[in-house]
Amino acid sequence: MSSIPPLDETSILPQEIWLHILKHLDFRSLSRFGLTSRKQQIQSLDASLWKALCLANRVQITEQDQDDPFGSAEAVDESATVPQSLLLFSFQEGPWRTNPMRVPDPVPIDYKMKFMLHRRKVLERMKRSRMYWAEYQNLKLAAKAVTLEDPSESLRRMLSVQKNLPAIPCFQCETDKASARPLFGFHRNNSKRDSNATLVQGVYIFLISAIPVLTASESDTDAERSYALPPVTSSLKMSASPYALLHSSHSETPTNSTIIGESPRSAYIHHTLTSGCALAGGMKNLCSREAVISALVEMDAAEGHVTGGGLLQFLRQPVVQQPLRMEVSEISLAIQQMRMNANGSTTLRLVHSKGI
Amino acid sequence: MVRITSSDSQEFSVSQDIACQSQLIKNMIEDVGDADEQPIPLPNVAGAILQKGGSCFPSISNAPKLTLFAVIEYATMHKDDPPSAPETDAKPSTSEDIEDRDKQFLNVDQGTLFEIILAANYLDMKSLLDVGCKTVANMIKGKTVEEVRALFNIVNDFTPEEEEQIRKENEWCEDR
Repeated sequence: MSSIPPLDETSILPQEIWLHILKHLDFRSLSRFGLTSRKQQIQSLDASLWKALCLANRVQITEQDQDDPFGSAEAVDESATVPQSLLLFSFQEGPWRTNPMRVPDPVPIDYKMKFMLHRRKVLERMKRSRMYWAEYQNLKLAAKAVTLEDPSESLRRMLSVQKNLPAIPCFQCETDKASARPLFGFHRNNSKRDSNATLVQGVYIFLISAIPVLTASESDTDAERSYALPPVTSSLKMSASPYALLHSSHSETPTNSTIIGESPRSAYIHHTLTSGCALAGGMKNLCSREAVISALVEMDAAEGHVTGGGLLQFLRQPVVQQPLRMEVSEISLAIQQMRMNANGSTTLRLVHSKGI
Repeated sequence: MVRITSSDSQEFSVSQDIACQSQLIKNMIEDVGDADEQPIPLPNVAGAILQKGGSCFPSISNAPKLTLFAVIEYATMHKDDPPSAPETDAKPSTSEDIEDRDKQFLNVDQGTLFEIILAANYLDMKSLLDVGCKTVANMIKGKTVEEVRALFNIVNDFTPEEEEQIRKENEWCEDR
């Protein structure tokens, strides 16, 4: 078109279509869009948009809002975010507002506020785990460089770097520890990480805890909630109980859902393996860093995933019926086997070690 | 065959399965019965966008009022699609999953794009409306405030103080 009329082109489309458009935006673009002008500001504050963002990001919303997935929320919730002057205006307008018999609206949920709080938490955690991620990315690069020539060399390199990672306390872990100290007993005892005994025990615990956490359908939240957890046997003095894992607030951890899948469980595992939190320390020992890293790096490379997908696949494999003890080498072997059966149709066979 | 006429009285003959991708036309046909006799008037849709003919398309982008033309082309392109699954709340829609042919189809100037979206909305063609909205969303994504303003000719009607305040309130969005 040769002459663009000097008019606000957003007014060509009616508001409901704009809502339809804006719901495809991420929070950052949405907030920027709202900064362009007053009209856009009001549009961008629409509660339905922020509600959708909250749902998509699994933001915890405690109030009674699940029973109203569609409409009405818009009309009600606008009052939460629209400036006072506009609010008054809309109150005067509708005659139904003055009906004395009218049941007062429940206090609307400010979804944007909820999302903001969630976002702050996420940022905090990201800050803590960022250096581990950076390390991991480096490892991946280093691994890619040498994988073709000698796989064992790349593993050795990765492990040498991994040793130097400092332990950063995870905020969430500290909070959890305060309320559920016994569940985290294993971590205290793991201070002597190098001993082989601890490692084997660690692997044992990993299998115990990972199995119930991971076998339920990844996408079915109801199944997730109702999933019957096996009792934690008393002989496991140092177990990270699956119950603790499931109820740990680590499930809302910073992960890109397109990378790791949408399950809070996989997100949780992912977090524990990549962040510096106390549980992570335990988990990393549990499965042996070698196994974890090689699983991530090599399977990712084979699958062409960006990152983490390999681990997810590893964790989704059909699991053995009873807890096993495994040596580090055996885990590697299992992973290798699994990689050969990359189509996932064949069962992952774990190698038993001498007695449990 | 179904005959439809646009706001500028152009008449189009379209096969029924193509026309019925528009829920509006489908309902009309169901209500009225056999539609062979009378052309269906679509007073809200300008003619040329009903069918966006492949070869004549470059000329269409010069003429803004070609909506009905384009919409018919889209419907023809998608006539063999399975009926879309109902949207679930749990799975958030992303704007990335646009088919290549749709991307190409909507690779038009902004005015035409808006016309197509309006027509899709009026004709009640959900898939076309969706894909159009996603395209607009993709235009907005990742742009700065100034860039978005320029994109749609939005006039900044905030006072400097207001703008500063809102910017502050939304600062958390920019943290990474």
